Amino acid sequence: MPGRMIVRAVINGEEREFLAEPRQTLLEVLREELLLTGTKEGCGNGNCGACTIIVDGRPANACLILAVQADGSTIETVEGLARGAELHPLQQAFLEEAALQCGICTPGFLMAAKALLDRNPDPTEAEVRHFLAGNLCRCTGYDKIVRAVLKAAAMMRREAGAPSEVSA
Amino acid sequence: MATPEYRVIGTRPIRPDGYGKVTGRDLYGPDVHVPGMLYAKVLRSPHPHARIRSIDASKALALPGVMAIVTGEDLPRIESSERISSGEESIEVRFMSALALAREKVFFKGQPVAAVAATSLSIAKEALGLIDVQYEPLPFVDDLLEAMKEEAPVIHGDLYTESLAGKGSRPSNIARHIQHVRGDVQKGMAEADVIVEREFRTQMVHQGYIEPTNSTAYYAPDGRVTIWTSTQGAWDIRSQVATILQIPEGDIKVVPMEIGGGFGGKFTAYLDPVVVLLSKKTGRPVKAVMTRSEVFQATGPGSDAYIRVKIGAKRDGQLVAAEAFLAYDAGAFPGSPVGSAAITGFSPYNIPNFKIDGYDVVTNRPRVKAYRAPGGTPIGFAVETVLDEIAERLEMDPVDLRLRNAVGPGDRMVNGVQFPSIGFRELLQKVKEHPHYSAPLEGQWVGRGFAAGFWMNGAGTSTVHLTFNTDGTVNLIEGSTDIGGTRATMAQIVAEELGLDMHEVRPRVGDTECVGFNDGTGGSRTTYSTGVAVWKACQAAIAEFKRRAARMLEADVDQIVYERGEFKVAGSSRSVNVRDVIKALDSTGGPFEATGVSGGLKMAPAFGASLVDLAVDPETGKVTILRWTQFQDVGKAIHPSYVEGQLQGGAVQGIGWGLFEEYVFREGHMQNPSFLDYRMPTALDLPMIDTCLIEVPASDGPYGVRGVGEASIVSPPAAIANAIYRAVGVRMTELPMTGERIWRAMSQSAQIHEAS
Amino acid sequence: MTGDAAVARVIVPSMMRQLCRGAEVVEVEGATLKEVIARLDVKCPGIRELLTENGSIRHHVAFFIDGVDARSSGGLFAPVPEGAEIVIVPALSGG
Repeated sequence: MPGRMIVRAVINGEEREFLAEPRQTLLEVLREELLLTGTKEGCGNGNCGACTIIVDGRPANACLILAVQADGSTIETVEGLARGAELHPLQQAFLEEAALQCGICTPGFLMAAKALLDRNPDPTEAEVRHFLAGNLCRCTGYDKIVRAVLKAAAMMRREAGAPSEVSA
Repeated sequence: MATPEYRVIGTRPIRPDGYGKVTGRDLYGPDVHVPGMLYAKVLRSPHPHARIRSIDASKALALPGVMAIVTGEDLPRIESSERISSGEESIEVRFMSALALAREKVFFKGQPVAAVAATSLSIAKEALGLIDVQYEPLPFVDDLLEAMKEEAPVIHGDLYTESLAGKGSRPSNIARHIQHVRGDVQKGMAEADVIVEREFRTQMVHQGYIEPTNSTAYYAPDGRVTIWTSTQGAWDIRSQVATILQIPEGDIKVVPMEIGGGFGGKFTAYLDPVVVLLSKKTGRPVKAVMTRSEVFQATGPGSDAYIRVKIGAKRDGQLVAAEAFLAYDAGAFPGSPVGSAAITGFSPYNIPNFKIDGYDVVTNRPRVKAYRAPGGTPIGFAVETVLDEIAERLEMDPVDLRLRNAVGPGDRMVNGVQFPSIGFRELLQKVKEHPHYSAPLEGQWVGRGFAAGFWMNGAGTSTVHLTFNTDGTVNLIEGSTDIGGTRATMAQIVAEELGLDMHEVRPRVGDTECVGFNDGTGGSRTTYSTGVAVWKACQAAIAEFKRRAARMLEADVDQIVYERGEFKVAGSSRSVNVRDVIKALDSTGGPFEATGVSGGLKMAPAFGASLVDLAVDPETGKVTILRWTQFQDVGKAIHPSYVEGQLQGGAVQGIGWGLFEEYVFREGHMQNPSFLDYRMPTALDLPMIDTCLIEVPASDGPYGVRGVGEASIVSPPAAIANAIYRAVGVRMTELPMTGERIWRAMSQSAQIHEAS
Repeated sequence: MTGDAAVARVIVPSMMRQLCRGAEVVEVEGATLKEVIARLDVKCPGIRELLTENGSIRHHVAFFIDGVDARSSGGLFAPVPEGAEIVIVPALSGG
């Protein structure tokens, strides 16, 4: 069994370097080596979306990526969503709409929803449901999650469309 | 009747732990990292029933990185039939121990046989393959109905059928017989104008919590044990580990981490005793996390059932007689929820004559656990579809049929216990008035279905403490794991009672060493019972604050009046705010802590109902849900968003149970232990789930609150079946109602129609 | 030993009625559940053995005293108020 290899990636805007065995998944390395435990494991084989992260701009299940494959990539996890104390509109909307109960699926949904809104800032309910079909939630029945995503989309469109401030 | 105005109760504040959840900072069990931690993996039986001849772990122990291996021989031998509580049920200790590690025999595929602790997960997995276990396979029975037959292999040679009449004389796979009788059912049936009798079969399902079962333990050199675990009941885990390992309970501290779902399935110490043993052997902390496949095959699924229901009614809709035969699968050891099931189906209705027989049956399947309203969904499916058929035969509105027979306060449940304050009739009225009920529904293959549901709800005991900070804020220390927003709800009660704002109350779920005893979070008991404890603690605090305020205002304590955060001297304008009282505690008498304990509470049952519009694809049988409304009497919605969330979540689990989910068993093996093939609902399968909250105050809870978590899972499958009937004319009697099953039923029905 | 013993109505489940000569309701005195069961055994011989074992309530049996599960108010020592209704039921879960 080959020894551990060096992997370099930009994670949440920060250049990171870490070691990984060839047989380790990116999920395992994020959680056990880098202690970025915000990304959760629900099934280990790509069927629940709890480990959704964004890799080079695309949503992906971290459990289906070998850590060594991530060499040279740009990775976004839930830990990088908020800017300091300022929550991302998705995070804010999830809280306001009570779109989480146990919260275990929330990081995965936040990243998947961000990936959706990054490419489609004005999705319909059907588009939201379709894009998020790969993320399982057992607590909420999805109703409040879908409402939160639509609300966040509206918030972000308002922010983006707001006229630029004129300094006094 | 005017209801009092509340400041905080009934509002929707952001949950206090919200930021930790949406930033990924809050720690769940698998997130625990303790210095020096080892990783554990469990070796499991490949056979549904076998004798363990030998276990040779020598090659595995020789693998570099493997630090220890344990088997059932490392557990204290337990022979007695002593029992232990596990959430809402109790189980024999020797069976509980066998669920942690088997000894001598295995009774289901997936039962733990050995466990390894190693320096990495990869090494631990590799080591499993090096443990040599010799089995002698035994005849097995993996089907409920097969297990009940005379000629079936008897799984436990020392298991006799128990009932209130005594114990059976021959070993049997039927562990228990429950019976409820009222009046004379034969006479009642003879008086009926319409009788409907049907048989039903439902399949084993899983709670489907997204966070797999896990536990981390450290056995310190002085014998003190710390366990960080995912559980609904920290005290249950503590007593189970203490009993299985014969360690004094006081030496064990259980720290409940944030929990990623439970639904009744996380009350059992599957991994905890194992990691404690491995930690003892290695002197290091040990962590174990189940894979999804292990979760399906080696935790506690929800029972499959075979049910026969016969109901007789008079032409005017009055139910006169009912009979039910229920057989529920317990899996490898006795303990299916057939007892609760036997009560749930008929209790919503005043039926003068009935006979209910329920049987708890063991099979070579994983030992079942509670799953949200345990036992209620299959019997609800049976009874509510038979009632729908009766309504049709009587040409009566299905809701009117329920109203005609609905129980009210003072009426009796099937087991004879009187209902306290309940809101079933009010709920049914609300259904009839709801826009969904009368909305037009057009299309050839569409239909609307209604079904009612009931859950008796638990009560139990909770203990909470309030402590106070010099900045005027309050800490609420509770022991109820937060699985659905109860942390927020309890904080709202404190804010309301003490006249504070939400952000001034800091709720915390403590471990078993920092707060008094708490029954687990489940059984729809938390908002109710912990709510009572919190309310009592607040009253104790107010009483003490009055004494302090009296000193601050230089008045007699009997002159102090408390109202909404203000302590006033009666008949004057002098007052002091609660925040100032709290800030001044040190100087008015010293620090103070308030405690509240709940117990001896009446039940606070919940009634619910589902209304669904759906379409059936005639070529594939696939069901598309077009519209869903879930109704429930919630007593008082302290935080309406979280109450709605309970209704929505339970309804969707019910939808999954009704349409998609099942354990497929062949030759004693589960064929589909993954989220790909065990099909839970996704966002794409559902529309918005509308909710309608009815508030009929419960007898004992603060503000009239009653338990809310479970009733919503009882009615969905029946509502769906009733809608399918109206859409395509077939009555489904098997769950799940997959496209294939519906299509077959439609084909058979078409053949019958062609033939006639 | 006890003060004025209260009279309670005990509702007997179907499987035990033959011990009470078919009676569905039996009135007995007792200040605690334990006393009630002892007196019930006089009227329904053999019933105590089915209800208790080694000084505690059998695991598959439950008692509701005026709608409250006796296990949460003292078990066999649960107080029985005057005129209380006690319902004997199979315990509500798998044993």
